[in-house]
Amino acid sequence: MSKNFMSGLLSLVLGAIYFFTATQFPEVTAGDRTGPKLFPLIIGSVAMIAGGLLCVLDRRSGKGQPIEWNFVADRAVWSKILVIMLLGISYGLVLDSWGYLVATTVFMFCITLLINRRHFLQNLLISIFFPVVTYAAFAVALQLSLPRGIIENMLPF
Amino acid sequence: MDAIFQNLAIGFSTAITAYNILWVFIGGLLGTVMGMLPGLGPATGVAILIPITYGMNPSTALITMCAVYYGAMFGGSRASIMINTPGDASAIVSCFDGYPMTKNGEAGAALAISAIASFIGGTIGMLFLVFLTGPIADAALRFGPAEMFSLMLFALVATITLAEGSLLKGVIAMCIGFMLSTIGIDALTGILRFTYGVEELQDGIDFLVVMIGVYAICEVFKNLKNLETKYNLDSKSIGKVWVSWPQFKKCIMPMLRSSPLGFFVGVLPGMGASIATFMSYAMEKNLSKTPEKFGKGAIEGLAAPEAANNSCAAGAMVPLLTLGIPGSGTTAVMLGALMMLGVKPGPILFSQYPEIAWGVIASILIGNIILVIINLPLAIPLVQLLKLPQRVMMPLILGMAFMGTYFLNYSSFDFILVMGFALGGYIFSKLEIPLPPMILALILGGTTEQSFRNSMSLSDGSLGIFFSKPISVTLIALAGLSLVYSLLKRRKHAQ
Repeated sequence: MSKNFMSGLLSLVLGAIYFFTATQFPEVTAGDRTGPKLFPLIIGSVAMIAGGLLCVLDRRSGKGQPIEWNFVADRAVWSKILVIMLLGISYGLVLDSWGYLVATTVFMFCITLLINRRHFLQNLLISIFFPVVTYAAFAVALQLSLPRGIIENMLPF
Repeated sequence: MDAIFQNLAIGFSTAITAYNILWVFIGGLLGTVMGMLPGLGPATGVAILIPITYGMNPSTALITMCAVYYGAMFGGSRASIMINTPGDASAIVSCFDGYPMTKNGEAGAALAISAIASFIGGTIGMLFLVFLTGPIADAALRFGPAEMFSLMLFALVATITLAEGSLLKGVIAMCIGFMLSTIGIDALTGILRFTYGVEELQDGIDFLVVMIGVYAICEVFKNLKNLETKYNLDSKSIGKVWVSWPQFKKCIMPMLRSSPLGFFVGVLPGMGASIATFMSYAMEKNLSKTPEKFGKGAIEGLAAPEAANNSCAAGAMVPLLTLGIPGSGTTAVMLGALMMLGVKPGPILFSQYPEIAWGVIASILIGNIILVIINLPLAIPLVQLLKLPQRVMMPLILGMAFMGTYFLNYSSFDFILVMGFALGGYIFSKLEIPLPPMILALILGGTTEQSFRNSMSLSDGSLGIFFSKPISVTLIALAGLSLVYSLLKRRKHAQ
């Protein structure tokens, strides 16, 4: 599938979902003549038209550039992206309960292990210094609120 | 004229405090580093460094972000000159003559002239900014909803048509931006739209979450392939970072010509600094008596794009400060950060908060002076950072990006969103869908819809309101012209 065709298809699908959802909104025009529907309906229509046109033009030209997903050749890159995403979401979920310092140390250690392989000591230093320095800068110096979590009573400030 | 000097006095009294100057220095230094590192542009730099502005008052926050922006513009060419790898797209042209100068043993002169040209370009840009912002902001105060809608339409059409690549893909990106902007409670009727039962979406999507995702984290994704890249940097051969008088004399006119060009390119939405640098390089090559020297280490071939680059950054501040319309990815991120601090740039900013608006303008001059100080004597220690491998930088960028995300709403849901947008940005890059129209539509979506609906209410549902006001008609005509010009240009290119 070519880049243009895929982009067109994406727009067509998103536009259709968006348009259909907008048709379900209640008609409310009190103090607002057009209501909450019209603008999204226009946007959905434009997205579908642009997407459809892009697909048709791409097929007619017959010179579409293939998408370079490289799932096999760049397997390592894609797997790293997936792991970073999972780590990022998990980090967000544990941040409040574990506290910034603990959660960030663990997160940074996992991330550095993934990205900066075979440099264990360097990774350990980054994982410790990054949360400590940023905590000192933001929570202590700039007085911004950061969760203290499970080591709340151990923190001197 | 008196009013301008009075406003500038207000600006300088805001900007010249020890606290603000300290942040201009820190922001400028961090921005220089961010701009210098290959793959990280000014937008990524500002997005990553947003957390440092959270505890600040709006004036200091905007001044700091401007310093980061300018620092990134100063630093962008360091990698082009030393290792033939541009820090960002706007520094590509600096490779053409900057790297040959290094190979010819003139790295010191190249680093010096790039800092000096950046200073001159930034200062001339700031002067234009001083004289243009007031009248534009005054005119914009008289805009009604119809004019506002037409202005948004023009900005969006210009962004789509001036961006490189397919026009239809630009339209698609714009639609996706609008779709994202309509998520949440409708401001006029209170109805929930496109939340699909997700409670966290009721307040809409914070556009800084989108920016951190598509700029900062997505950049890390893109760089994962080049983690082991090592640059061949010979810092011992740089020599003295300075230019001789004959070298400087050669650059005076190119710098003075390229600065206004860069500024006016920067004012137009969608015309990034990369276009300004290419245009200034082409102009100087055409005007030169020795065009054959360009590409082989001509110092004026480096000075011209560097001046254009920095004056373009000043130009991009015009639509941001006066109309609340970001002209580039970086100013879009800055707008997002400011709105989070409760300040909405636009014409009202100049009348209600003159100390912020003029403080920022004054800080640009101070920032330029500080940055030239950073980039001349500290040039050699700074370029050592190019030796820092990507595999060390990337985790730090991720750490800062997540920290910035957390500070937005203290919500773990934002982490899910930011990862989704990072993946989305990566897929967009694979499909070559341009990001600027999406970002602009996301930011302007709320205002565009509201001004459209208000206009329709005022005209009893008639679209004629957009064609009954001279400013509105002019802006719609400009949007139409931009579209026609772009279609003709693309057709010619295809043939």
